[in-house]
Amino acid sequence: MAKQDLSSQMLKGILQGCLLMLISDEPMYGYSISQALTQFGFQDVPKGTVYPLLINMEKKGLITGKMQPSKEGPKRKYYYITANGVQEKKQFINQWHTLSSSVNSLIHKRSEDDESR
Amino acid sequence: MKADSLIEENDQLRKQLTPENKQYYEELMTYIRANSTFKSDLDVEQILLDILNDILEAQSNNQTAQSYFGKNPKESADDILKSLPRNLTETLKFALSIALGYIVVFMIPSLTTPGIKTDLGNLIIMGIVSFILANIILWLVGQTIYQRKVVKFVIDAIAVLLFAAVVAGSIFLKTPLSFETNGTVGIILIAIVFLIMTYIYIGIFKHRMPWTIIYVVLTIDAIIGVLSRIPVIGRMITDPVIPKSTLLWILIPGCIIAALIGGVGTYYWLTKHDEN
Repeated sequence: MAKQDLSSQMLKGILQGCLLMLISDEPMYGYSISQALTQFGFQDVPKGTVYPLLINMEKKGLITGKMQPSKEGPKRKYYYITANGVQEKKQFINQWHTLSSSVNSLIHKRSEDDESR
Repeated sequence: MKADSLIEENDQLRKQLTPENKQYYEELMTYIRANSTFKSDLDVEQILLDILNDILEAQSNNQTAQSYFGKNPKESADDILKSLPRNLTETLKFALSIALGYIVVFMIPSLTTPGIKTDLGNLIIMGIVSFILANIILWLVGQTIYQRKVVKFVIDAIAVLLFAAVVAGSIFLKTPLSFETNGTVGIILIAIVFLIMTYIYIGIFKHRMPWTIIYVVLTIDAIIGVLSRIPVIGRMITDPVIPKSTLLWILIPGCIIAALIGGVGTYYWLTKHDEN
Protein backbone atom coordinates (compact mmCIF):
# COMPACT_ATOMS: atom_id res chain seq x y z
CA MET A 1 0.00 0.00 0.00
CA ALA A 2 2.84 2.37 0.90
CA LYS A 3 4.62 1.57 -2.35
CA GLN A 4 1.47 2.47 -4.27
CA ASP A 5 1.13 5.75 -2.39
CA LEU A 6 4.74 6.73 -3.10
CA SER A 7 4.52 6.26 -6.83
CA SER A 8 1.10 7.93 -7.04
CA GLN A 9 2.50 10.89 -5.10
CA MET A 10 5.41 11.03 -7.50
CA LEU A 11 3.06 10.83 -10.47
CA LYS A 12 0.98 13.69 -9.07
CA GLY A 13 4.07 15.86 -8.65
CA ILE A 14 5.21 15.07 -12.18
CA LEU A 15 1.71 15.61 -13.58
CA GLN A 16 1.52 19.01 -11.90
CA GLY A 17 4.78 19.99 -13.62
CA CYS A 18 3.41 18.78 -16.95
CA LEU A 19 0.17 20.70 -16.45
CA LEU A 20 2.17 23.85 -15.74
CA MET A 21 4.09 23.41 -18.98
CA LEU A 22 0.93 22.81 -21.02
CA ILE A 23 -0.97 25.73 -19.51
CA SER A 24 1.98 28.14 -19.86
CA ASP A 25 1.97 27.53 -23.62
CA GLU A 26 -1.71 28.45 -23.97
CA PRO A 27 -4.81 28.68 -21.75
CA MET A 28 -6.63 25.35 -21.60
CA TYR A 29 -9.71 23.76 -20.03
CA GLY A 30 -10.24 20.28 -18.50
CA TYR A 31 -10.85 18.21 -21.61
CA SER A 32 -8.30 19.97 -23.81
CA ILE A 33 -5.70 19.39 -21.07
CA SER A 34 -6.61 15.70 -21.00
CA GLN A 35 -6.31 15.44 -24.78
CA ALA A 36 -2.87 17.10 -24.70
CA LEU A 37 -1.72 14.68 -21.98
CA THR A 38 -2.87 11.72 -24.07
CA GLN A 39 -1.00 13.13 -27.06
CA PHE A 40 2.21 13.20 -25.04
CA GLY A 41 1.89 9.58 -23.97
CA PHE A 42 -0.16 9.82 -20.77
CA GLN A 43 -3.10 7.88 -22.21
CA ASP A 44 -2.97 5.31 -19.40
CA VAL A 45 -3.35 7.94 -16.70
CA PRO A 46 -7.04 8.18 -15.66
CA LYS A 47 -8.05 11.74 -16.38
CA GLY A 48 -10.00 11.89 -13.14
CA THR A 49 -6.68 12.63 -11.42
CA VAL A 50 -6.32 15.90 -13.32
CA TYR A 51 -9.22 17.65 -11.57
CA PRO A 52 -8.01 17.61 -7.97
CA LEU A 53 -4.60 18.71 -9.29
CA LEU A 54 -6.14 21.70 -11.06
CA ILE A 55 -8.06 22.67 -7.92
CA ASN A 56 -4.91 22.46 -5.79
CA MET A 57 -2.86 24.41 -8.29
CA GLU A 58 -5.47 27.15 -8.33
CA LYS A 59 -5.49 27.19 -4.52
CA LYS A 60 -1.70 27.56 -4.49
CA GLY A 61 -1.93 30.47 -6.92
CA LEU A 62 -0.06 28.73 -9.74
CA ILE A 63 -2.98 29.07 -12.17
CA THR A 64 -6.18 31.07 -12.36
CA GLY A 65 -9.47 30.05 -13.96
CA LYS A 66 -11.66 32.15 -16.22
CA MET A 67 -14.96 31.30 -17.88
CA GLN A 68 -14.91 31.93 -21.59
CA PRO A 69 -16.54 30.51 -24.74
CA SER A 70 -14.77 27.45 -26.18
CA LYS A 71 -14.17 26.25 -29.74
CA GLU A 72 -17.32 24.12 -29.57
CA GLY A 73 -19.34 27.06 -28.30
CA PRO A 74 -20.33 26.61 -24.64
CA LYS A 75 -18.47 28.53 -21.93
CA ARG A 76 -15.75 26.52 -20.25
CA LYS A 77 -13.34 27.27 -17.42
CA TYR A 78 -10.00 28.12 -19.05
CA TYR A 79 -6.89 28.03 -16.88
CA TYR A 80 -4.16 30.64 -17.22
CA ILE A 81 -0.71 30.42 -15.71
CA THR A 82 0.34 33.01 -13.13
CA ALA A 83 3.77 34.51 -12.38
CA ASN A 84 4.11 32.06 -9.48
CA GLY A 85 3.13 29.27 -11.83
CA VAL A 86 5.85 30.22 -14.33
CA GLN A 87 8.43 30.18 -11.53
CA GLU A 88 7.19 26.80 -10.29
CA LYS A 89 7.34 25.47 -13.84
CA LYS A 90 10.98 26.53 -14.23
CA GLN A 91 11.81 24.95 -10.88
CA PHE A 92 10.13 21.72 -11.94
CA ILE A 93 12.04 21.57 -15.22
CA ASN A 94 15.35 22.11 -13.42
CA GLN A 95 14.57 19.49 -10.80
CA TRP A 96 13.50 17.05 -13.49
CA HIS A 97 16.70 17.61 -15.49
CA THR A 98 18.83 16.98 -12.39
CA LEU A 99 16.81 13.96 -11.30
CA SER A 100 16.53 12.35 -14.72
CA SER A 101 20.20 12.81 -15.59
CA SER A 102 21.18 11.19 -12.27
CA VAL A 103 18.82 8.26 -12.82
CA ASN A 104 19.87 7.94 -16.46
CA SER A 105 23.58 7.91 -15.62
CA LEU A 106 22.92 5.23 -12.99
CA ILE A 107 21.04 3.11 -15.52
CA HIS A 108 23.76 3.76 -18.12
CA LYS A 109 26.50 2.76 -15.68
CA ARG A 110 24.72 -0.43 -14.71
CA SER A 111 24.10 -1.44 -18.31
CA GLU A 112 27.84 -0.79 -19.01
CA ASP A 113 28.72 -3.01 -16.07
CA ASP A 114 26.31 -5.68 -17.33
CA GLU A 115 27.88 -5.61 -20.80
CA SER A 116 31.43 -5.90 -19.50
CA ARG A 117 30.56 -9.03 -17.45
CA MET B 1 -28.18 31.83 -5.71
CA LYS B 2 -25.63 31.00 -8.36
CA ALA B 3 -25.21 27.39 -7.27
CA ASP B 4 -28.87 26.82 -8.15
CA SER B 5 -28.38 27.90 -11.75
CA LEU B 6 -25.34 25.60 -11.97
CA ILE B 7 -27.46 22.72 -10.66
CA GLU B 8 -30.14 23.45 -13.26
CA GLU B 9 -27.57 23.55 -16.03
CA ASN B 10 -26.20 20.25 -14.74
CA ASP B 11 -29.69 18.70 -14.80
CA GLN B 12 -30.20 19.80 -18.41
CA LEU B 13 -26.79 18.64 -19.66
CA ARG B 14 -27.04 15.23 -18.02
CA LYS B 15 -29.87 14.38 -20.38
CA GLN B 16 -27.32 14.21 -23.18
CA LEU B 17 -25.40 11.38 -21.53
CA THR B 18 -25.66 7.81 -22.75
CA PRO B 19 -27.28 5.49 -20.15
CA GLU B 20 -23.91 3.96 -19.25
CA ASN B 21 -22.21 7.34 -18.87
CA LYS B 22 -25.24 8.74 -17.05
CA GLN B 23 -25.01 6.09 -14.36
CA TYR B 24 -21.26 6.58 -13.99
CA TYR B 25 -21.52 10.34 -13.72
CA GLU B 26 -24.59 10.40 -11.46
CA GLU B 27 -22.92 8.07 -8.98
CA LEU B 28 -19.90 10.35 -8.97
CA MET B 29 -22.09 13.44 -8.62
CA THR B 30 -24.19 12.08 -5.75
CA TYR B 31 -21.11 10.81 -3.93
CA ILE B 32 -19.40 14.19 -4.11
CA ARG B 33 -22.52 16.16 -3.15
CA ALA B 34 -23.27 13.90 -0.19
CA ASN B 35 -19.76 14.33 1.20
CA SER B 36 -19.53 18.08 0.89
CA THR B 37 -21.71 19.54 3.64
CA PHE B 38 -18.87 21.67 4.95
CA LYS B 39 -17.82 22.96 1.57
CA SER B 40 -19.12 25.81 -0.48
CA ASP B 41 -22.03 24.78 -2.72
CA LEU B 42 -20.69 26.99 -5.47
CA ASP B 43 -17.26 25.30 -5.47
CA VAL B 44 -18.84 21.86 -5.55
CA GLU B 45 -21.32 22.56 -8.34
CA GLN B 46 -18.64 24.33 -10.38
CA ILE B 47 -16.32 21.33 -10.44
CA LEU B 48 -19.23 18.93 -11.04
CA LEU B 49 -20.28 20.96 -14.08
CA ASP B 50 -16.71 21.11 -15.39
CA ILE B 51 -16.40 17.34 -15.15
CA LEU B 52 -19.80 16.85 -16.80
CA ASN B 53 -18.84 19.08 -19.74
CA ASP B 54 -15.58 17.18 -20.18
CA ILE B 55 -17.30 13.80 -20.04
CA LEU B 56 -19.79 15.01 -22.65
CA GLU B 57 -16.95 16.08 -24.91
CA ALA B 58 -15.23 12.72 -24.42
CA GLN B 59 -18.56 11.07 -25.24
CA SER B 60 -18.79 13.01 -28.50
CA ASN B 61 -15.36 11.55 -29.35
CA ASN B 62 -16.69 8.05 -28.64
CA GLN B 63 -14.92 7.66 -25.33
CA THR B 64 -16.92 6.31 -22.38
CA ALA B 65 -16.99 8.19 -19.10
CA GLN B 66 -15.21 5.31 -17.42
CA SER B 67 -12.36 5.10 -19.92
CA TYR B 68 -11.97 8.89 -19.71
CA PHE B 69 -12.30 9.51 -16.00
CA GLY B 70 -10.92 6.22 -14.74
CA LYS B 71 -11.96 2.85 -13.30
CA ASN B 72 -11.62 4.20 -9.78
CA PRO B 73 -13.91 7.22 -9.63
CA LYS B 74 -14.20 7.03 -5.84
CA GLU B 75 -10.46 7.68 -5.51
CA SER B 76 -10.57 10.73 -7.74
CA ALA B 77 -13.73 11.92 -5.99
CA ASP B 78 -12.02 11.61 -2.61
CA ASP B 79 -9.07 13.62 -3.93
CA ILE B 80 -11.41 16.29 -5.25
CA LEU B 81 -13.19 16.48 -1.91
CA LYS B 82 -9.87 16.75 -0.09
CA SER B 83 -8.79 19.62 -2.29
CA LEU B 84 -12.00 21.65 -1.90
CA PRO B 85 -11.61 24.08 0.98
CA ARG B 86 -13.96 23.98 3.97
CA ASN B 87 -16.20 26.95 4.17
CA LEU B 88 -17.34 28.12 7.58
CA THR B 89 -20.07 30.50 6.44
CA GLU B 90 -21.66 27.86 4.24
CA THR B 91 -21.69 25.37 7.08
CA LEU B 92 -23.23 27.86 9.47
CA LYS B 93 -25.84 28.88 6.90
CA PHE B 94 -26.77 25.23 6.43
CA ALA B 95 -26.86 24.55 10.18
CA LEU B 96 -29.01 27.58 10.90
CA SER B 97 -31.45 26.88 8.10
CA ILE B 98 -32.00 23.32 9.29
CA ALA B 99 -32.32 24.23 12.95
CA LEU B 100 -34.52 27.22 12.22
CA GLY B 101 -36.63 25.28 9.75
CA TYR B 102 -37.15 22.58 12.32
CA ILE B 103 -38.13 25.01 15.03
CA VAL B 104 -40.56 26.86 12.80
CA VAL B 105 -42.21 23.70 11.53
CA PHE B 106 -42.69 22.18 14.92
CA MET B 107 -43.58 25.36 16.70
CA ILE B 108 -46.70 26.13 14.69
CA PRO B 109 -48.69 23.01 15.57
CA SER B 110 -48.01 23.58 19.23
CA LEU B 111 -49.15 27.16 18.85
CA THR B 112 -52.41 26.08 17.26
CA THR B 113 -54.18 25.30 20.48
CA PRO B 114 -53.93 27.88 23.23
CA GLY B 115 -53.25 26.29 26.57
CA ILE B 116 -50.71 23.83 25.21
CA LYS B 117 -47.32 24.93 26.35
CA THR B 118 -44.66 25.72 23.81
CA ASP B 119 -41.52 23.90 24.88
CA LEU B 120 -38.74 26.15 23.69
CA GLY B 121 -36.00 24.00 25.17
CA ASN B 122 -37.29 20.97 23.29
CA LEU B 123 -37.40 22.92 20.07
CA ILE B 124 -33.86 24.24 20.36
CA ILE B 125 -32.37 20.90 21.33
CA MET B 126 -34.24 19.01 18.63
CA GLY B 127 -33.32 21.71 16.11
CA ILE B 128 -29.63 21.11 16.79
CA VAL B 129 -30.15 17.36 16.77
CA SER B 130 -31.87 17.60 13.40
CA PHE B 131 -28.87 19.39 11.95
CA ILE B 132 -26.54 16.67 13.20
CA LEU B 133 -28.91 14.02 11.91
CA ALA B 134 -29.16 15.66 8.49
CA ASN B 135 -25.37 15.52 8.20
CA ILE B 136 -25.25 11.91 9.29
CA ILE B 137 -27.88 10.92 6.76
CA LEU B 138 -26.11 12.82 3.98
CA TRP B 139 -22.85 11.08 4.85
CA LEU B 140 -24.64 7.72 4.93
CA VAL B 141 -26.07 8.37 1.48
CA GLY B 142 -22.57 9.15 0.27
CA GLN B 143 -21.26 5.89 1.69
CA THR B 144 -23.90 3.78 -0.04
CA ILE B 145 -22.92 4.92 -3.53
CA TYR B 146 -19.81 2.81 -3.89
CA GLN B 147 -20.86 -0.08 -1.63
CA ARG B 148 -22.35 -3.52 -2.14
CA LYS B 149 -26.07 -4.29 -1.74
CA VAL B 150 -25.84 -5.71 1.79
CA VAL B 151 -24.10 -2.69 3.16
CA LYS B 152 -26.61 -0.44 1.44
CA PHE B 153 -29.46 -2.17 3.23
CA VAL B 154 -27.82 -1.88 6.64
CA ILE B 155 -27.15 1.79 6.07
CA ASP B 156 -30.75 2.43 5.01
CA ALA B 157 -31.96 0.69 8.17
CA ILE B 158 -29.70 2.85 10.33
CA ALA B 159 -31.02 5.99 8.63
CA VAL B 160 -34.63 4.98 9.33
CA LEU B 161 -33.83 4.27 12.99
CA LEU B 162 -32.12 7.62 13.42
CA PHE B 163 -35.08 9.40 11.88
CA ALA B 164 -37.51 7.57 14.19
CA ALA B 165 -35.35 8.54 17.16
CA VAL B 166 -35.57 12.20 16.20
CA VAL B 167 -39.35 12.04 15.86
CA ALA B 168 -39.60 10.31 19.26
CA GLY B 169 -37.34 12.95 20.78
CA SER B 170 -39.45 15.75 19.45
CA ILE B 171 -42.55 14.26 21.01
CA PHE B 172 -41.23 13.08 24.34
CA LEU B 173 -38.42 15.39 25.26
CA LYS B 174 -39.66 17.94 27.78
CA THR B 175 -37.57 20.74 29.12
CA PRO B 176 -38.39 23.35 31.74
CA LEU B 177 -38.07 26.07 29.12
CA SER B 178 -41.77 26.08 28.32
CA PHE B 179 -44.26 28.85 28.25
CA GLU B 180 -47.90 29.38 27.49
CA THR B 181 -48.96 31.43 24.53
CA ASN B 182 -52.43 32.73 25.14
CA GLY B 183 -54.26 35.76 23.93
CA THR B 184 -52.53 38.62 22.17
CA VAL B 185 -49.02 37.38 22.93
CA GLY B 186 -49.93 34.17 21.17
CA ILE B 187 -51.27 35.96 18.12
CA ILE B 188 -48.16 38.12 17.80
CA LEU B 189 -45.91 35.09 18.23
CA ILE B 190 -47.78 33.17 15.57
CA ALA B 191 -47.54 36.14 13.25
CA ILE B 192 -43.75 36.35 13.71
CA VAL B 193 -43.20 32.63 13.19
CA PHE B 194 -45.50 32.69 10.18
CA LEU B 195 -43.49 35.49 8.60
CA ILE B 196 -40.22 33.62 9.17
CA MET B 197 -41.74 30.49 7.68
CA THR B 198 -43.02 32.35 4.64
CA TYR B 199 -39.57 33.84 4.07
CA ILE B 200 -37.94 30.43 4.28
CA TYR B 201 -40.53 28.92 1.96
CA ILE B 202 -40.21 31.58 -0.73
CA GLY B 203 -36.60 32.64 -0.35
CA ILE B 204 -34.82 29.36 0.34
CA PHE B 205 -37.14 26.71 -1.03
CA LYS B 206 -38.39 28.87 -3.91
CA HIS B 207 -42.00 27.69 -3.51
CA ARG B 208 -41.24 24.24 -4.87
CA MET B 209 -42.93 21.01 -4.06
CA PRO B 210 -43.09 19.23 -1.63
CA TRP B 211 -42.51 22.28 0.54
CA THR B 212 -45.74 23.75 -0.82
CA ILE B 213 -47.82 21.06 0.87
CA ILE B 214 -46.06 21.60 4.19
CA TYR B 215 -46.46 25.35 3.86
CA VAL B 216 -50.20 25.09 3.19
CA VAL B 217 -50.74 22.78 6.16
CA LEU B 218 -48.77 25.05 8.46
CA THR B 219 -50.64 28.13 7.22
CA ILE B 220 -53.92 26.47 8.09
CA ASP B 221 -52.48 25.64 11.52
CA ALA B 222 -51.43 29.26 11.96
CA ILE B 223 -54.88 30.55 11.01
CA ILE B 224 -56.55 28.16 13.43
CA GLY B 225 -54.10 29.25 16.08
CA VAL B 226 -54.90 32.92 15.60
CA LEU B 227 -58.65 32.34 15.42
CA SER B 228 -58.73 30.26 18.57
CA ARG B 229 -57.10 33.06 20.47
CA ILE B 230 -59.76 35.57 19.51
CA PRO B 231 -62.29 35.24 22.34
CA VAL B 232 -65.60 34.79 20.53
CA ILE B 233 -64.44 32.75 17.58
CA GLY B 234 -62.16 30.76 19.85
CA ARG B 235 -64.98 29.41 21.85
CA MET B 236 -66.85 28.53 18.70
CA ILE B 237 -63.97 26.44 17.43
CA THR B 238 -63.09 24.69 20.63
CA ASP B 239 -66.61 23.88 21.74
CA PRO B 240 -67.60 20.73 20.00
CA VAL B 241 -70.43 21.15 17.57
CA ILE B 242 -70.72 17.48 16.92
CA PRO B 243 -70.63 15.04 19.82
CA LYS B 244 -67.06 14.02 20.52
CA SER B 245 -67.47 10.38 19.65
CA THR B 246 -68.75 11.12 16.15
CA LEU B 247 -66.00 13.68 15.68
CA LEU B 248 -63.41 11.06 16.58
CA TRP B 249 -64.87 8.69 14.03
CA ILE B 250 -64.29 11.34 11.40
CA LEU B 251 -60.97 12.70 12.62
CA ILE B 252 -58.98 9.53 13.23
CA PRO B 253 -59.58 7.81 9.89
CA GLY B 254 -59.23 11.24 8.26
CA CYS B 255 -55.79 11.76 9.82
CA ILE B 256 -54.64 8.28 8.87
CA ILE B 257 -55.73 8.77 5.27
CA ALA B 258 -54.07 12.20 5.16
CA ALA B 259 -50.84 10.78 6.56
CA LEU B 260 -50.87 7.93 4.03
CA ILE B 261 -51.49 10.29 1.14
CA GLY B 262 -48.78 12.64 2.39
CA GLY B 263 -46.26 9.85 2.93
CA VAL B 264 -46.94 7.94 -0.27
CA GLY B 265 -47.21 11.14 -2.26
CA THR B 266 -43.87 12.42 -0.99
CA TYR B 267 -42.22 9.05 -1.60
CA TYR B 268 -43.60 8.90 -5.11
CA TRP B 269 -42.49 12.44 -5.85
CA LEU B 270 -38.99 11.78 -4.48
CA THR B 271 -38.49 8.61 -6.52
CA LYS B 272 -39.79 10.32 -9.63
CA HIS B 273 -37.21 13.08 -9.22
CA ASP B 274 -34.32 10.88 -8.14
CA GLU B 275 -32.89 9.44 -11.34
CA ASN B 276 -30.81 6.99 -9.32
